[in-house]
Amino acid sequence: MRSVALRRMAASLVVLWAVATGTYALVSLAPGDAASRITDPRLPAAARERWRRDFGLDRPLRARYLSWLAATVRGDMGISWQHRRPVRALLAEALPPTALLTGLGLLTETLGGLAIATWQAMRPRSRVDRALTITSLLAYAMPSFAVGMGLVWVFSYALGWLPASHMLSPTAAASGWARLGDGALHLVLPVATIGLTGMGALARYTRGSLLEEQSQGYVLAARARGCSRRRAVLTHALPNAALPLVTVLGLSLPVLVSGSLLVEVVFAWPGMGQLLLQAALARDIPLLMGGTLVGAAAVVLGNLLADVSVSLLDPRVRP
Amino acid sequence: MKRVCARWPALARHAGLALGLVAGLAIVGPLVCPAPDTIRDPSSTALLAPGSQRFFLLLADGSTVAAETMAPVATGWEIRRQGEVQVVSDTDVQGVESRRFWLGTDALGRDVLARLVWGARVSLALGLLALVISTLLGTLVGLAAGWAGGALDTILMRLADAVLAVPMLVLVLLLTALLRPSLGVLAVVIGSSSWMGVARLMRAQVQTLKQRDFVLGLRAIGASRTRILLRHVLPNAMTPLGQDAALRLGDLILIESSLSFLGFGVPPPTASWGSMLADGQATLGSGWWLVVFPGCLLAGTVLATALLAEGLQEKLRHFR
Amino acid sequence: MNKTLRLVGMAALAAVLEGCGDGSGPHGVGQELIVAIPADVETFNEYQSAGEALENAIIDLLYPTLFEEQPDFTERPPSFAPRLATEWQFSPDRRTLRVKLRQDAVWSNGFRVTADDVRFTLMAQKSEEAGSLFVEQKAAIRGLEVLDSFTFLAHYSRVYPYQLMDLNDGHIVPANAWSATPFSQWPHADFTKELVSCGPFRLASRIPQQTTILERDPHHWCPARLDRLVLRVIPDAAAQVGQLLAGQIHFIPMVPPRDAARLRQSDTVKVVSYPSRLLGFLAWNHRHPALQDRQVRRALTLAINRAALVEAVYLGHAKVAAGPVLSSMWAFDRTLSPLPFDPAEARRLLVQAGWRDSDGDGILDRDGKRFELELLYPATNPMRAQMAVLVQADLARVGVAASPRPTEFGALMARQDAGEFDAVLTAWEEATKVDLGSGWATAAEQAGSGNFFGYSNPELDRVLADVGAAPDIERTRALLARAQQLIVADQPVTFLYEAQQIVAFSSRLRATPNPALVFFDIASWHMVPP
Repeated sequence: MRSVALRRMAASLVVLWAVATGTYALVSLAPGDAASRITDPRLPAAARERWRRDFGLDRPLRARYLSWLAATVRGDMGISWQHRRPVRALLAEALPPTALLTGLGLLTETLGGLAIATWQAMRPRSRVDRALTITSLLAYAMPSFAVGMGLVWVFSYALGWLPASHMLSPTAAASGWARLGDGALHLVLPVATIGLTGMGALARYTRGSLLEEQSQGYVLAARARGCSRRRAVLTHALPNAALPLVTVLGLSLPVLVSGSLLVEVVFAWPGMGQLLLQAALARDIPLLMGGTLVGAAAVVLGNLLADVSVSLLDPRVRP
Repeated sequence: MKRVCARWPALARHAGLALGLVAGLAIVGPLVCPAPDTIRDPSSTALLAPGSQRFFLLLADGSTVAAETMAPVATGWEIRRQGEVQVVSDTDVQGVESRRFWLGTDALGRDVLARLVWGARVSLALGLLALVISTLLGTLVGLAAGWAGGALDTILMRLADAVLAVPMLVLVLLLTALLRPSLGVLAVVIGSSSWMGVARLMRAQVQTLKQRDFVLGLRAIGASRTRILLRHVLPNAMTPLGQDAALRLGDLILIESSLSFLGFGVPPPTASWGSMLADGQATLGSGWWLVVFPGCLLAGTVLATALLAEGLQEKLRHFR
Repeated sequence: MNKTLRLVGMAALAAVLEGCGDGSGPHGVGQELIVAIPADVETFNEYQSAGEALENAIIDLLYPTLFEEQPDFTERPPSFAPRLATEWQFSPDRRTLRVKLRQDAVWSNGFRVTADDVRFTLMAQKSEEAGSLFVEQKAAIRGLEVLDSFTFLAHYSRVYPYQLMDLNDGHIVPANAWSATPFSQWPHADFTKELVSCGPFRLASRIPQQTTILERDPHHWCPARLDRLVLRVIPDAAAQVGQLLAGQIHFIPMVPPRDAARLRQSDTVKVVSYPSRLLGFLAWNHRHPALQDRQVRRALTLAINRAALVEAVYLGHAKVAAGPVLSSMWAFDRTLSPLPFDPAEARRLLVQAGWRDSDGDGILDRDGKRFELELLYPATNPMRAQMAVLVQADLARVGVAASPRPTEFGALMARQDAGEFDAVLTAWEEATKVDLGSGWATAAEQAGSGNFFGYSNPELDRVLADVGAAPDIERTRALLARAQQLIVADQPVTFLYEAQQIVAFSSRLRATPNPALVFFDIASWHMVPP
């Protein structure tokens, strides 16, 4: 058992290294570098050269890569070239908003998907079933930026009920319930966007498994004992059909760390997605690498959690 | 045959029909529809609402003049453009034509209908190409991981997961910076950054099949590995893969739209539904038709692929 | 400390009584202006800034300059009004400038702004190590001699028309707070933690990627009437417009032209447009065998319907550019006008240069090679995308096949530097110090230069060298006119447009945005009840 754990650890490290190295190569080989952003033609060419020297970009790629690797192994993620602040601090700022947004988004998606699927499975092939299939897939069939903008258009611009972007109002109270309420209002539209776009696929998946479970012996037996369809679905089929969802959710945990880029852009959300997009555009190598590593590390953790929770929930898998 | 067909749920049948129509549009449409990139008269590039009519005078020097109204007069044609009335002499005019823009024009005066028709081809081709690439890549990785097991399996699958952790759009952005953007490159980039799901699915299939009696039997009688893999494991793993592919086609078409939103979609003047939607949202206030038509087609197509995938799943369940 | 603060407070009061611009009225209570910015301010330190215009405007709210450059560059080089400096006078030989500073300027940490700060700033500006972008500009200033806390002499090594401007460029930084960090660490140091500033506003709080709140600095000699200036990061332009219409923000510094018309229809929003200093052009790579020929470049310009392009993309918020100097600028040679749109003449010139359609495919060829071009532009700029499509359509009519290629920004810059392009749709912001040398003189090293397209004309180089040595403005003006004529005749690039900047703001705001700087005279801005 211990050797298995060790092997998995070693494999994870190899993967982390491979992903990081791949990203490093990609961002270094892509034309342009951190100094490309100085575009003012009045500035002497020397200004750009100086930026390059400051960032160590005048050294050969191999030397840069090796010193980056050495620093990373020591746990030093360096200082962002764009923001002049430690990468660690920037990531620590961006992670909580992303985790909050995508966490609530995933929760909405799951609960909404389960609810729709259960409702449908109770009356399969009825008119309601079909209507729900189409409506739940509508948001799934649109790019998330369009869904987000549509929601903003209706609920923020036209009706004025909810704020269109950001985490807090500019005039938010410093603390207390008012601030919490303000934050909650700002969460509604982006969370709804993630929830709506994800709900459809999840509902389709669960409905399929629910129907499958309904034809299984134990459900049929329950029905034969006089259990209502509703009860049979809710108490017998649903728990079993929901089990594979745990794996699916475990696998989407990385999104908690890497964020949903488009939703963050549309709602000006200060999360990981936007941070990494800006870092890639600015060729801010320390920040991009830091973000990538944290994301990849989250995957390793996510997989572990998924494995563990499945073995806890499903007696068949338990060793 | 009829009995099998009858098992398709109604929604899936309709979806299949819709997809067929879209495919037909993509294949036949461009043959009958004028080229989408034509800017007939660059000096008159107004945003026209659906149903508007425009007149065009084809001049002797090969250029075209657009007009809002047109009437023959003794010396030639009296036209009104941008509020000004002018007369173009008969000697200059080679021909006149009128054209109605059923779905309006975009900000550069291009026919939205024509762009939608041609865009169908681009969107579908791009989606299909990316689908083929990602399926090939994912199948290879999944087969290797599932069949070999052990360390290779762990590493390949962890790699697939870790690639998922890097925000895909960031990856794509760096790739488009590295390679020069074109339709082909875009398809390769999208395809090669979305193989992870296929790999996972394939691996699971192979792992199950590996333990099935017929494979064990084949191994026992000494069939070669490649033969077992290609002739027996792969075909059996194909069914769920097909269903997954139908679902992913929609996703891939949507990814192109997202890339366009960030400015890294199909290079202009080529139109795709996704890029039209992304461009249209920036000008939503000025022309609803720039968003609504491509948006509906895009959503309709993706919806249809999803319904078809579900129908496929349901049909397979009955079949078993 | 307490005592200093009180003293300072009295000094500020005195300044209000003296009056400073229109900002002398009483400031309102709870006045707040929410400004949309497309990307977060990366730094409040101009030694770390990549020179983005809006970031510079924000830095200008926090740090003083010696003089205030006036937006009067249409008739002559801009004049200067007092800001930190109250009086200045050149010695008879114009090699020494005596400057008196105001005595009531204080940094936000309580220290006074003195001549020592100015001297420290010049040291930083002349230091490559500090990351200064002003090294060349300050080269003619030999040094500063501090006479007393509020008086100094600036010694120049030569006499030329831009002596004041060169001294003024860049902001004065606090010696008391910044000298602790050695210059060599400036490019990497984090200066935002405790930002010592001296402006109408000071940094109050900041949530990165979200909101930066600047609050009124009551100790400033000309305190703002607004209490808070809130900078909201809103990356999406459509979202900025939507939020302004919904009343969630109050000010958009840069509105896309297409949205301007829609915003004008709203009675809660005011739209103001004014000539910006943005000059857009299509740069042809002079290393390309076809584009070396100036007749070919001229033909390409004639073939592009620039008036239609400006109308279609800018909807009246731009005009066709005639040459390398903006027509609103004092140095513009008024005898120049844009080349006409004349496709017939363009075809004739192309045939003359040996380009004809010998295989009848609609595309010109010469020696078996088709006339094909890649047209690069930054991928994230939708207006350039529209221009690229229009240019492509126009060139196709004369038989030149151009393919628009949206290119990621870093990649675009790298390809420009390496000379790996055919044509680039680009624009630059023209300085009020009309310096044609950086963009049009033969560049020793093209990488990073304004003249990345490889243009070279020895006669122009001579004229531009003379401009640099010209002692007075009349001579400069004449030489610049000659240079413009040479450049326009060569058409090293196709001059496209002079854009207007469109600013939109809530009709509750009383403000006068200005061609010089978005936030010009912000001290007088205030909100009125709806």
